[in-house]
Amino acid sequence: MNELQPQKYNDSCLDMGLLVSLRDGELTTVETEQARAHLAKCPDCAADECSMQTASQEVYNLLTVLGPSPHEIPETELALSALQARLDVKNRREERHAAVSSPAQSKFRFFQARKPQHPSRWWLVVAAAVLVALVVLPNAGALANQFLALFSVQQFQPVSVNPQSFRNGIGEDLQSFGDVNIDYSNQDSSIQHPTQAQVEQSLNFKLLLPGHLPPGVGHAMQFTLIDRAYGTFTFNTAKARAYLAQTGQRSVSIPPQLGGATFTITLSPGVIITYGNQCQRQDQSASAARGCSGGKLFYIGEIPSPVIKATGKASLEDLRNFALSLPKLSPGVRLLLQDVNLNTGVVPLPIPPQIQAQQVTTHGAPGVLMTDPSLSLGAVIWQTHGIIYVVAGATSDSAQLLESANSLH
Amino acid sequence: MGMSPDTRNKPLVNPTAEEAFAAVFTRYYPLVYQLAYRCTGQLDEADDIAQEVFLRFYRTPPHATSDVEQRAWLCRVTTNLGLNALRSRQRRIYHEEKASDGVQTTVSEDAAQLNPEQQVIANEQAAFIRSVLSELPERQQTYILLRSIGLSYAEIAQAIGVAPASVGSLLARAEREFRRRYHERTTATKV
Repeated sequence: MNELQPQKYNDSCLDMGLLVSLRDGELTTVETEQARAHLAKCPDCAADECSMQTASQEVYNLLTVLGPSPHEIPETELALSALQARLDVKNRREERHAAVSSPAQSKFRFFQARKPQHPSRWWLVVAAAVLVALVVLPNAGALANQFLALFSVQQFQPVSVNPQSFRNGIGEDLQSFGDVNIDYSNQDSSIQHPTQAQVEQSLNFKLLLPGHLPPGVGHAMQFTLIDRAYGTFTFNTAKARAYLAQTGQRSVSIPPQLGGATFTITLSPGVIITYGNQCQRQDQSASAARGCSGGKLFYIGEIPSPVIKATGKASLEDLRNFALSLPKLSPGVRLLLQDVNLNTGVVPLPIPPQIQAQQVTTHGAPGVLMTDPSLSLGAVIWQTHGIIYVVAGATSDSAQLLESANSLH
Repeated sequence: MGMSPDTRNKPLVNPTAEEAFAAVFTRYYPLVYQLAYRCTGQLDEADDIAQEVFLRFYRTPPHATSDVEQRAWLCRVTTNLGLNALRSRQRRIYHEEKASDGVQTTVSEDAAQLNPEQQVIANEQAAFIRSVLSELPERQQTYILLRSIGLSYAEIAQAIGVAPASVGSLLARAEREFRRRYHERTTATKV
């Protein structure tokens, strides 16, 4: 390759490659001495070296315009944390994808209890997300004590989100601002496959069952109880201050009333109903395969709306305002926080681009219908009388999903 | 139905290697970010690229036996991603300019500290230099960019896959070409 061979003018003169190498200190000691000796006695090469130095200086001066200046380079520690968070999210997404794409399993395994001893694990994930999203809600205003705030979900509003917008900026780790503690009672999880009567006894609301199932869905059903849970978040000013300093947000001021303020989330027991041609009965051993098989997969979730309360001197609105004041809050989270309507209880439901979403009316209440035609999956979610209902299945047929949702009685 | 353990999702590095990864990240992140920024001129894009480079490093660690090889690998991937991003953006801007007669550029913090007039000039100058650079053959762009952030010839050779002894001549040619095009463009602008 001609390009790779340094060209020499003649046996003794230095070519530009050698001159540049000399400039950059890339020649060996012997080569450097030889080159210097030659430059001392060869005016042509010395002139070449001089013009090369000038030209190089011009080139690299021009390139410094491209930046960045040292203070524009993000803090390494912060960047590492962001990458670690991204890896965590990626791993979680892959786990979910593996669950969805496993041919022998349900496409909606997400809605299923994963382990007999932890039937509510996914719910805790949801709860944590809900806590994150809702803990920053403003005062409901109806309560006598102006410092007390109470909120529960009344309605979902689909909001298109670009997953990218959650990547830039600080995440939403409540642990960075205080102490999070979630306790959940597993008193009901000892019942591996509860009967309908046992479920109704555990729930504080009336169980609704569908009068109509989409074609191809088996009529056998299985119940999985979701435990009650109680979570608290106590704002810790020192911890928050350290985190802000670490993430380059030192200028953010922390409202004094947030110090030590405690926010709670209460989750009442709920249920997931799984349909199939054949479901495991209560008298079967726990070691046998769980869940239902055969036919199109179909699920119904009935979960009381979590209740968020501010129990200290700071209101939920104070906390939300503080979160929104963080300059590095990711744009996606910011958008969701801003979209929560405290007075009406409308909560934004983030919808990624590949999901089609539309607002629908189910049981007289506003709901959201989501479908993913590429995976033939669909779900309807709505809230009525304090209960969040989810009807989901391996179909993207909107009419079928809505008919089933409306047939709950 | 329990979740079976899925070994595919395990990171490719063990806990000890996690620490080693953090050390590599801490050591090279500023360099990688700087290179990505020089390629793209966009703070967010540079951050995305730097993250992507280390994500790849984490997922598929290179078989690098020395610091030189490690640094070279990081810079090669960064330059590839950076120049690809720049190419895509330039194509997009070309179409957007046609449609809106305006270019949306990121204002760097440095530029933001200048007055509006200086800010415009700084942004224009950076865009102009980047545009001249992008006219060079990709290899020449890479030589100049890698040298401009202080890589040694051994590292440049490793990153590009040429003999270290050839780097001097190749770099000289790239610098000469850059300078020639720069003067051609500035002369044309003045005329």
